[in-house]
Amino acid sequence: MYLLTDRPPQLETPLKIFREDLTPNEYFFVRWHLAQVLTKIDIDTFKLYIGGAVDKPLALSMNDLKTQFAPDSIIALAICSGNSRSTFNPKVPGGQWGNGAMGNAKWKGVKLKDILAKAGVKKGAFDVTFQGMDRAPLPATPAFIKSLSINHAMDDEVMIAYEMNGQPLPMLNGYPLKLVVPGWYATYWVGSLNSVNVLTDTFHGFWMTKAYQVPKDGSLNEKPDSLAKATVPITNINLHSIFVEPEPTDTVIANKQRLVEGLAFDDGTGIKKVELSFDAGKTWVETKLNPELGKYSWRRWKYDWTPTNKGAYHILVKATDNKGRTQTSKQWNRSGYARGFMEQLDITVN
Amino acid sequence: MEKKQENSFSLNGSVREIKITPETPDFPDHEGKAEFMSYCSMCHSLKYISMQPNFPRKTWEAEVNKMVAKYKAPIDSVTGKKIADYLVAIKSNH
Repeated sequence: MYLLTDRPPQLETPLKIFREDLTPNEYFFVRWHLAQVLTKIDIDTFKLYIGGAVDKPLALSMNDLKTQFAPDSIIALAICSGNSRSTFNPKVPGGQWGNGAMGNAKWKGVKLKDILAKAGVKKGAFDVTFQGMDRAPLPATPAFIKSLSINHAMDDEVMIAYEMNGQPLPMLNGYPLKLVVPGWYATYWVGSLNSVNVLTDTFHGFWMTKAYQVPKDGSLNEKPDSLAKATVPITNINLHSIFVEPEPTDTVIANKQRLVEGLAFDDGTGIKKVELSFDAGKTWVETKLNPELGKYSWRRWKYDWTPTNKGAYHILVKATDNKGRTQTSKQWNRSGYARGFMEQLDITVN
Repeated sequence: MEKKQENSFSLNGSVREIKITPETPDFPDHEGKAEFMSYCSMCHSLKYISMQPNFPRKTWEAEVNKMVAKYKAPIDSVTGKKIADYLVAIKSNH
């Protein structure tokens, strides 16, 4: 894997790993915010605390989670808000990710709504906060706490996962528990989760109100010399598509069939088609989509390409979703979030 | 290809532990290097800086200010300027 940082750890998945439906745990991307990540735990004494505006605060052990609640399963894409940040132009500070800060996995755990139902959510509940066991070296640094609205927290899809692709979560990916928020960026997927708190008011924590902001107009776009005045927290995964194979430095031979493949993903709306253009967007050809693996899974696409001429090629990839939305050619924001502008593969045919 | 840096994972009954190897990149000598290396490693690895591309002075100054104002780094304004100057010296297009 590509190591971006060691403290806290941030690791990126090599592109070729994305030629599988599910991303193996040992190659799954890693991203923490605070240097003191969990490195040691006795699972027998671990407790998940549910508190705040509830009738009955809970302290659930891993065994409680596995025996007192029906297990739930979902295949869902985890993707960092800043995935592909290094491709923004002009460049922006932050984790200099390529396309590898994402992964598709089968998550198994308990629906959050089942846990909240057991605690009994009080009338007037508004937000729910989530915190893990990571800590900052300085006491004054804001704790990493994310929140969801009570309605979102109680929907049928948000899950507290204790397994990833059939195994306990690796500690670097959030062992023992990780919040899974299908269709939303992974900033919400709090790892080493141990505290769920129901509030009767809006949560105003730093990591919800100051960090992870995007322009309020929903465009995920602004200009360096006219930044959006109003911002809101990032939420839904933006429609995007990428090339996985071939990579720019790979050898492609003229008049020989070459498989071109990649991924398309979104917030669960559904991918309608993925197209390629070999002439800077004048004309488009449709790729073949793999069957859907689930609403929140990525979608793999394939195209058999037989280039007839030698030389440089610039291939665009464009996804369209089931609401008819498609990708733009230009997009930028100050934080390098939610890349959705079309990717171009520059490759030489020999 | 390297597997994830869970490079030392032990399971002793119910206790699970991992060890993460720290890495400190090399940095060029310029005025302010000592302040940069000490203050900027209080809360995170210096790879956070070495992985960045070049930025203009305005961006580096904003980053240092963010560390103080948002993340509460204990850096006074004199030291903050020294650090920003160092970052400009090593990672900006002059």
